[in-house]
Amino acid sequence: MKSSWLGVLLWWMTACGGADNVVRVVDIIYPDGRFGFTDVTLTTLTDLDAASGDVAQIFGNVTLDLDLSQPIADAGGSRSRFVAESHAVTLHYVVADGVAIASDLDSLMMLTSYWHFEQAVAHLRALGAPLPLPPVPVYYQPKVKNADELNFPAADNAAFFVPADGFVLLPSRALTDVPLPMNTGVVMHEMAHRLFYYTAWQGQLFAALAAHASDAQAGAHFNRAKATDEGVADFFAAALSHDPAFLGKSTPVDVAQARNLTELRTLDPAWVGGAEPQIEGSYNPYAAGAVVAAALWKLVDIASLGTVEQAVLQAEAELGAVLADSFTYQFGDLERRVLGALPAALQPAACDALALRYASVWSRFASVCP
Amino acid sequence: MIGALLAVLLPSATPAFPNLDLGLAVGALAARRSDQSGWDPAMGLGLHLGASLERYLPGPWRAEVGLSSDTSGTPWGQRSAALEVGRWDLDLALRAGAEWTLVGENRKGGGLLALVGPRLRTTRVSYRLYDEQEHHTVLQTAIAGTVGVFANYQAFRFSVRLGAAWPWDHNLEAWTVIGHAL
Ligand SMILES: [Zn+2]
Repeated sequence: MKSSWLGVLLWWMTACGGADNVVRVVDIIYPDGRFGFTDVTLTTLTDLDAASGDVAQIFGNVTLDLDLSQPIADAGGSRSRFVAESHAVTLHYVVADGVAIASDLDSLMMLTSYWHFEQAVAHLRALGAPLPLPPVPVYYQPKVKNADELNFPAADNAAFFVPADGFVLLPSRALTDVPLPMNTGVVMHEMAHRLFYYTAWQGQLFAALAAHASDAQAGAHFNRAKATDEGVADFFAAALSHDPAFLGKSTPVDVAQARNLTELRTLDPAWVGGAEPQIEGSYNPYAAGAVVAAALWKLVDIASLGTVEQAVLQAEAELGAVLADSFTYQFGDLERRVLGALPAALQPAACDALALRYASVWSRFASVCP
Repeated sequence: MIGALLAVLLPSATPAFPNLDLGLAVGALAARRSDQSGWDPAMGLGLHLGASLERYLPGPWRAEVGLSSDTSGTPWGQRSAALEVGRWDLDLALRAGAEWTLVGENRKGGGLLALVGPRLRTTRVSYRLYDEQEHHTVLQTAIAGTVGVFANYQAFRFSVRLGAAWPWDHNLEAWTVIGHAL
């Protein structure tokens, strides 16, 4: 009698067992860009309950302390200073027909985010990007000390937080549609920043900033590189999501439109100096970034998407040989290298496509576009 | 059943089955948030059918079958404009254990109770994404335990209990049960 009871109990306990990392997530599943539910296998996940695996680990109940008073070590060396508190998450889910179904919104968001991080890394690796990097910490809805002082948004944003070499997924408050962490393009955008940091900056941004702190022009060079970083990130986001308007599902119309990659955008001569445009007294890298993103996206009319993506990766790598050391960056420095990395037969058409957009700095393209 | 429910409200003179009792349970639940940032409150309601077994077994043994429902974690669903996630649980639990009378005696007294047993939980998770809806209903099993204090007054039974389950389902439960002998 006793053993049969135990048998029934054991059967019960095992009948509700694991899900082999097959999870239901939110993704773009319709050709028109609409989001829907889909089942995916998270191949890199090692601990479903903790949303932890080979590409990322999600942490909750996080407090970030934006203490910029001390020097920052590169490649996450100062992470423990910036992340005052973080905890492994415990996802809530049920298993239906072998598929893990998140049973609260946070768990669904975290699982979906993990899937997008996995996709982003897989996509970049397939292109040959140097991403044998350790799993990245993802800080889910952190509280941020000193956020106001430093103009750090409290909500409605996602970021690659360079000082901690980690990603930050802020809560969605004003943005009320598909939350940013569920937007494939948004996650890819942030992953592309990490790639830019490790390739173009060679993982030495803070050392370079410190070394060039007394250089009067360092801020302008940094701003131009930052704007280019934003543009490259939007380009990869559109590439992975196959949606040049990927922000549309998660942000207000004006924000999405200002970054839509299908627009014909030209580099305003006033922006070339690296100080303009500004928003609330700070440099706005998204304006020139949108020019870069739209220009790269335009190249997809001339070469295949994969060819352009590989050319961008090669350009980032070439930039890495000079950027951190020289700490000089002018608009066109990356784009010129992208054109140079395209097949020679396509270069004239590619030059034509960019000439109007980059008229304000066209002389910098002379080596590729005579 | 209806008669028994009425019995909860209207004290009867002489219970026909003084060793059986039916109780209405009201629960306050706290669900640990998946991101570890705190606890979400939830409500529960249940019916308990209990049996005191001291007539049949040596010792203060008690057994119960309970049916309860709760909206653990997110009582009314969490949402963004495009997306909503809701969850609802229905539990059928068998519990056995002991109740030790520490004050007074059998029909006018009180003490401690500790019960444990298997729980079959039916969980319904519902998603809405834009106008697309889907639901998943799954069965899960666990061992659920409860400890608390009880007081008997004539045919009435009162208890306040704390409960949790293994495997841990992220919930701590506090239940107040008002029962009456049948
Ligand atoms: Zn960005």
